[in-house]
Amino acid sequence: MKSITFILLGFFISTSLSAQKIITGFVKDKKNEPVMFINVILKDSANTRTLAFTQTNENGYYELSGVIKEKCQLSFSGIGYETKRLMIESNSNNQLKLDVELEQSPIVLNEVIVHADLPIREKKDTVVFSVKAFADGTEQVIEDLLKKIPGISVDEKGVIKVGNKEIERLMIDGDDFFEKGYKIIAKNMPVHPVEKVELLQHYSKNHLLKGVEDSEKYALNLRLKEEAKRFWFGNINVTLSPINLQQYLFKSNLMNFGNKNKFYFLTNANNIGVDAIGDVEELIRPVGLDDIGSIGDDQQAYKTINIISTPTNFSKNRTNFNNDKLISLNSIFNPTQKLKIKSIIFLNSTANNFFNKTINTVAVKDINFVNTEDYRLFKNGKVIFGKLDLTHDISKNQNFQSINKFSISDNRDKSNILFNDIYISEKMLFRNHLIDNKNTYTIKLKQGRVFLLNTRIIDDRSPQNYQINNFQYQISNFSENSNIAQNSENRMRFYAVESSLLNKSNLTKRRLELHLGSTLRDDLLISDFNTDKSKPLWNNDYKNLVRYISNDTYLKSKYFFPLKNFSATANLEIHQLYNYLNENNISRNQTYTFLNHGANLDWNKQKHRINTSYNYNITNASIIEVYNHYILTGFRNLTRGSGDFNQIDASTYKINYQFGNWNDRTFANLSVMYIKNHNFFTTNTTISPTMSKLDKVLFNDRNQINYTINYDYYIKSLKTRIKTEAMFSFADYKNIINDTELRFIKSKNYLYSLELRSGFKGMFNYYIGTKWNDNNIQAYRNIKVINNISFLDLSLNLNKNIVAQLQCERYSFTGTSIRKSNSYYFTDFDIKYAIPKNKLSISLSGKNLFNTTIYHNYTVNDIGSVYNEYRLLPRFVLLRAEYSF
Amino acid sequence: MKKLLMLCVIWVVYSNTYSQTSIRAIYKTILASNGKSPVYEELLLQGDKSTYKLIERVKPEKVIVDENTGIVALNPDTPDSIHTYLVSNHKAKMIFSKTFLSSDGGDSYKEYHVKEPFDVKWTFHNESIKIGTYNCRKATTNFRGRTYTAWYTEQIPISVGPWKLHGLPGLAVKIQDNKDEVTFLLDKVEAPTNRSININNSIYQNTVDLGTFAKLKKIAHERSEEAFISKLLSQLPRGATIQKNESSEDKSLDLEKTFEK
Repeated sequence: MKSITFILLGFFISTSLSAQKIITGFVKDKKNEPVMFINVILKDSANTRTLAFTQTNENGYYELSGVIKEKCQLSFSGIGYETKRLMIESNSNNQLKLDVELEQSPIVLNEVIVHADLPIREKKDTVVFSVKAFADGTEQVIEDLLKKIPGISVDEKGVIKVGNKEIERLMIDGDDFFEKGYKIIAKNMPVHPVEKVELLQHYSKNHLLKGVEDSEKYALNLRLKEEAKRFWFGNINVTLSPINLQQYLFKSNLMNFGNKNKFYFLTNANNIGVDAIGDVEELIRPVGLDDIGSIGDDQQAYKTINIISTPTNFSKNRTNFNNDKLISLNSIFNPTQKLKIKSIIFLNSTANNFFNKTINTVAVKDINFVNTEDYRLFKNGKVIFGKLDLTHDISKNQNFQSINKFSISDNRDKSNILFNDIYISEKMLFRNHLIDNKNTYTIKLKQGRVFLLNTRIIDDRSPQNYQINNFQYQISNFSENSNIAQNSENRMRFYAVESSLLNKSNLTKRRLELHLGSTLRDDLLISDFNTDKSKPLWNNDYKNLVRYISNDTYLKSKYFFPLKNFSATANLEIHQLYNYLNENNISRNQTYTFLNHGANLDWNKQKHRINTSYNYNITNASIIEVYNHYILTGFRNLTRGSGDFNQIDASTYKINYQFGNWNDRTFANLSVMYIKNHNFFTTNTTISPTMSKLDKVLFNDRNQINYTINYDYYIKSLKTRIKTEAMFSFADYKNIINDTELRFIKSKNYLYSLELRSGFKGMFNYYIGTKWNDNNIQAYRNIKVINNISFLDLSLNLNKNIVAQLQCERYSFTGTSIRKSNSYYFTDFDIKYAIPKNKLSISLSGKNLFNTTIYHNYTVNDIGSVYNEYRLLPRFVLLRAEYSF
Repeated sequence: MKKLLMLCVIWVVYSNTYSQTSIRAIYKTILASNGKSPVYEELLLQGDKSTYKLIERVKPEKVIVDENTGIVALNPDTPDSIHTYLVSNHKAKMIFSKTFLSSDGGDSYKEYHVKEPFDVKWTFHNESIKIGTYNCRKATTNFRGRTYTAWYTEQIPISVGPWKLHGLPGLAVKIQDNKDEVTFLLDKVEAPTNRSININNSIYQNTVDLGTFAKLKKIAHERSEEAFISKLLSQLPRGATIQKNESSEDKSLDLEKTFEK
């Protein structure tokens, strides 16, 4: 910088000691012209303290007053002038007149200032939501609180979403207990210890990947009040039906979240349809994870028989006659700053009863029959689940993580079936053993470059023993009506190793991901048929002894480059596949090389956003599609795979246009998706009234197309948001029935919905909506079914302590060969009173007030239709007391 | 003779340009109300007038994401998505600002022209630090409900500051409030500058004084908040309700929290 030169003139003017002085004067240039905007600063003689400051006016005049001690300095400075400094000394005069002449001195500045001490420490723990601002005191658990935070929604299953995306974790002071099983915390932890809720976007589970990986994930972090860290807190919820004292729910949570160690103990027992284990399942087998370097998350053993079907589009709680008990002990230890140990143990026992009647109409060309089944299912299950996680931060740039899981489950199911007036009884013993180890080593090589090494070992077994006393089908030497038992087991072992390199340019924000890895899945599938007399079946068609090993060595690359309003992603994968199949001691193998590729283009300007993508993927057939002999998959279903190696390939094209954000007055979304399966697995079915035999066969060309349009508009004058949705989907596919020629099937599905939701500031609000679903299947003939669901919710906040809610629902359907429309009504209510200044709240709720005990639905498929009847939990009223401490 | 006249003309032109101070300073402004997403504002001073306006914005939406930390701020108040445009007359010591108020949660804005006198009283302190090549001195003030600390340099002797924060004995290099909600950082300085000041005279018309504006703003805010909550409520899933507590003035992220003197 060409700095302003300082000239110190040795003017010494006497002034009196420490006194309020007024200094005035005129500042002029060489030409005797007055100079404006000259800074006149009075400082102490050491030039450290600024005593007074003023500027000259248009006449060059200044006036300054200040307390002057002994010697002082007066400076005159301005852009384009040389600075002049005068020393003044105390004297007796209260007023001092001082005229100054300044010399011009051109200034040239062109500089960028570097702030070394950036004042904005954009800390990770920045407050996003203060609980006080959104809570009204009626919330009991975290879920209730989150529902009230803008942008966060919680659906009826407890799934927490930010915008349209499910969160990855719900952490407590940065520590995560249950990963995707976060619903346990959301549904149980009391609100009062929480001070702030932090929302993290572009969240990376591995902190070394922050800013390097392409993360669109969200996580929530609950920051606790400092005083809450020292105490144990929790809640007890006791719910009982006051009328018959039969229905109950007992729930208790006990927790302590210190800085060093955290504990969370919980228990839940109920028989009011609440699925206590449901939330744990996500922890045992998380779905939809796409973490970098996470391999094998979708690998699990195949279960041959699964005897339960629940109605779709319908609250599961209403059909769940249950008795669940759950205990869970969880802790997180931080023995040193660098080491974190997390241990989780769950013990769960469930008993469920389920009642279902179906009328199955089959109408294919020359096969026409009707089957009725009256199913009474009694399920008993026990699950022990444990997890031990270890995270070691080796250094600032390196860490190591080890995740170890084990799970043992034991299920005993029994059912009584009245099949076309024939009495059949089923019994199933089903066990599952799972051991899973995953290790990750991460090193940050430099800013924007990270290397990862991952290993994974999974051992998953699911032996099943299935018995049926009155088998309705003749298989070789078994006669009808005999007792039959099937023992089956799939043991799956999975080994994988992968190294990944991630690179992100700080300047261009371009990102490159490379993964080099190899996976090996080793399946053993055993199944056989026996009579009760342990007489083995000699026919090999109903026996399996299959070993299927599949090794995939791959190199995957992904490149992301942002431009001004555009961003583009391209990915390319090279796979080298080696398959080995051994059936009854005859072995075969296959090698296969293939490419997967895709691209994605994003355009974003103000409120408009367009996204287009295409993907071409080849996947290798799994054990379910490969085994060659029949396995019983239901009391009257036999299934077998194709008996050969196969790779299936599909192309996907998507285009999406979005206008506006979630909280704008107008929000619109338009999307089209087209999936072309170049080849796909379908079935060759042999149907008879008593048995279906399914052979998996491979065919070419299946098309699916889906159009969706959403439009939301907020009507200001009515303070109501109107939400509309229309969807149309079309699919065509093929299959074979009874070895006849190929059947071409077309399925069309229309969906329309309209909803109105008020946003009144007062105590009353409504939410009303209706949804139509029209399903058409064109196979041998046209069949269709139209479903409608309508609801009306009213909420009344009488005051801060009393909240009442009423929910009404109507389900109806009509369709081909249904003469009259069927409608079902449900009404539930809930009144909650939070006792002021007390941690106790009391509520009264009623479920199924119309006492609808039977629910029907109707579905269509390409061979006919199914009319289902479900038994429902009858009307009950519950009185609930909840105490938080 | 002709040559001499020429020289004279050049001299006059030269001296005139130098008697008119011209300086351009770019500030990086970081506001909590904007999710701490930085915006760039330009301070242009020419003669006795200066303008202060937004020149570059990063993300003006209500949902603001910090690219580095991934922190998302959802702003229930109407964000400062339309920045105030300011003209200061340093001779008359008056500030004219063109500002916008929304009464419906940000769907529409109404323009206002506010006229107010210079009103910042700085207290000077002994501390000094060096930022870049500049020796900076400390000054503090309370202004519109916030307590600011300014670091200014006498090496650039002008008393024009970012936004309304005039009256320092040198250019402000950094000004920050004590809650870390408002920060002005000098990013670039250019003097003399070849950019000339352009003032649309409409800013001097239909002006309101500060007291009137304070009242208008309060009403607009109340209406806006109501509209925002209503919009939000109408967006929630089944079974969810919200009830927002009255936010106290202290929690407001507004640049100007109070208008009392």
